Amino acid sequence: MTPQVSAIAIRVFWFVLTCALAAVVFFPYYWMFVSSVESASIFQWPPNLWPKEFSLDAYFTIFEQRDLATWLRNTFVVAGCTALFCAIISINAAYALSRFKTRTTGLFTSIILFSQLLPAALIVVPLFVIFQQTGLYDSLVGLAIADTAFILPLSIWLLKGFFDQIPVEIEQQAMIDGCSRLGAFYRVTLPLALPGLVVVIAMGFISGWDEFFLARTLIAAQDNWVLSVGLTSFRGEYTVAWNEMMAAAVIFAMPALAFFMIVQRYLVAGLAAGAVKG
Amino acid sequence: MSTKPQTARRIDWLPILLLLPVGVVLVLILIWPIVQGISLSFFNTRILNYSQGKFIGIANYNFLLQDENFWNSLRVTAIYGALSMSLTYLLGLGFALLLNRNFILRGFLRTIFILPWAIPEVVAVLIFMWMLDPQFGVLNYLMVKAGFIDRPLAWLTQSSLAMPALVMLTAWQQFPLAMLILLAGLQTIPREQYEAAMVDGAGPISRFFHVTLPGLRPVNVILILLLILNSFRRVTMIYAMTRGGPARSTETLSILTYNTAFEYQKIGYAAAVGTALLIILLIFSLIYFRAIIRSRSAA
Repeated sequence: MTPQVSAIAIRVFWFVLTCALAAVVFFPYYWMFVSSVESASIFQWPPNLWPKEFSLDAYFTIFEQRDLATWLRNTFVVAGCTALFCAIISINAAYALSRFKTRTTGLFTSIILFSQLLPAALIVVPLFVIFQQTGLYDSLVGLAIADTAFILPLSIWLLKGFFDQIPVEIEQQAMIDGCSRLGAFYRVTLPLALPGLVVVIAMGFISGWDEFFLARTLIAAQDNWVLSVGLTSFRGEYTVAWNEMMAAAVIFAMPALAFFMIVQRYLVAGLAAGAVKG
Repeated sequence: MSTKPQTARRIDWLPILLLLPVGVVLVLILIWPIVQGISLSFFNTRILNYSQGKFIGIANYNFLLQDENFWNSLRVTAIYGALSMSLTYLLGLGFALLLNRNFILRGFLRTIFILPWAIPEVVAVLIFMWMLDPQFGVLNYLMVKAGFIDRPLAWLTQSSLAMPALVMLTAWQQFPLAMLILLAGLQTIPREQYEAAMVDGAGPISRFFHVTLPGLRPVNVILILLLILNSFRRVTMIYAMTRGGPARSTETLSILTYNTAFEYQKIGYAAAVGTALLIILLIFSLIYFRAIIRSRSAA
């Protein structure tokens, strides 16, 4: 073989290997979809690696037999509130951390970084009692407040990065033109940082949507269950209808994936910058 | 700020006002519960007599040191941390090296490799429980076919198999984080170093050990500590998959804290377990922050 041909052969080899491994990594996703569109034929040994008979029955059955509609609505409420709280709080906090370099803001930066390392398992024990005493227990808004606290450090940090990139001179110009300090921020800087705002809203939504541990602890009534809690409640049953379970899993995973696609680019860049630059 | 607001000499209330909401939420949901958790560990509080717990000094901690469930849990935490970190890191490194070259569809394939990270943890757990099902599980089938095992195994009900299953799930879900961080690290290694090594006649394996690995060192330290910290704090995945069972074989300190509080209703004792976990996390966090500061001053 000439050197060029063998170089091409090596490139093809690596490409094929990468694709094959991507298929392996993707397999659990594939299996979730395939299992959800098969009927009873999933309960077979050996399993069919390709779907044999296509049917959407599982999707209809879970909506008929389970409280999926209620859980779906509750999850939307929690995720929506988390996104809203997260956006409002992060905008102001990130702006303060980006534009004011005082001792308070320095202290806050360390608190925010530090609070990311606290163990959720220890926090929920007293939190359970605090929520009962304050009337936040068993309430969707209460759960959203708790979810917000856990995602805030990361979202403030990311949003601060967006504000840091917008030159302060633009705000100063607006202030000379008669804007107040906050007015300049809300009318001039914030619109320029719109992608950052989208990222923070999407992150708040995803974290509220996915969350299980707090929801399991801080919500009691079945009418207030969210999807993550509802789905794991099937597991205690004698036989699990896995095709229905996978259909519910698809419904649960889709909105999270859609929002993830929006933030992927920024999250990847922010994560890389944070880890490499510290 | 170059132009100071009119009230430069007095305290500037604006940043304080802007930070007030985040302060309230973090104190209410994170900091106050931690403080309360630590103080509860000195009381014999139970869920039913929450307001009448008696102060018992360090009795909970004395009991902790003699509690074999605590020592078991410490061991499980160490094993889970070491195994899940190693496998996650190795997968992340392998895929990062694969993706760190130019080829068609690179962006698309990278997205595929990130997807496991985007799935809700509960969904990942459910998929793996179904794939590992002892009767119809596809992973059992594929492993039998490949000759790894000779018959389908009951992964989640056998105490020797639950930990490997949990590590498998953790690595599948978490390797994208390691991969992204390592990819960013790989891109900071100057091309000239590889070219110089090639001039010196170094083959691909020698280049990996003499250029790539040393170049990744600062990122490695931070990433490995981050993966360990995450594994110590992880709750959702483990609780949803095994609840710490079977026979406490997957009961990490986090899960023991939760079970002690909500299954056995011993709040004070759970707080002591949680505080022990907190101390371990603090030690690792200090090392972590020192590593970050060091890599920052080196850069």
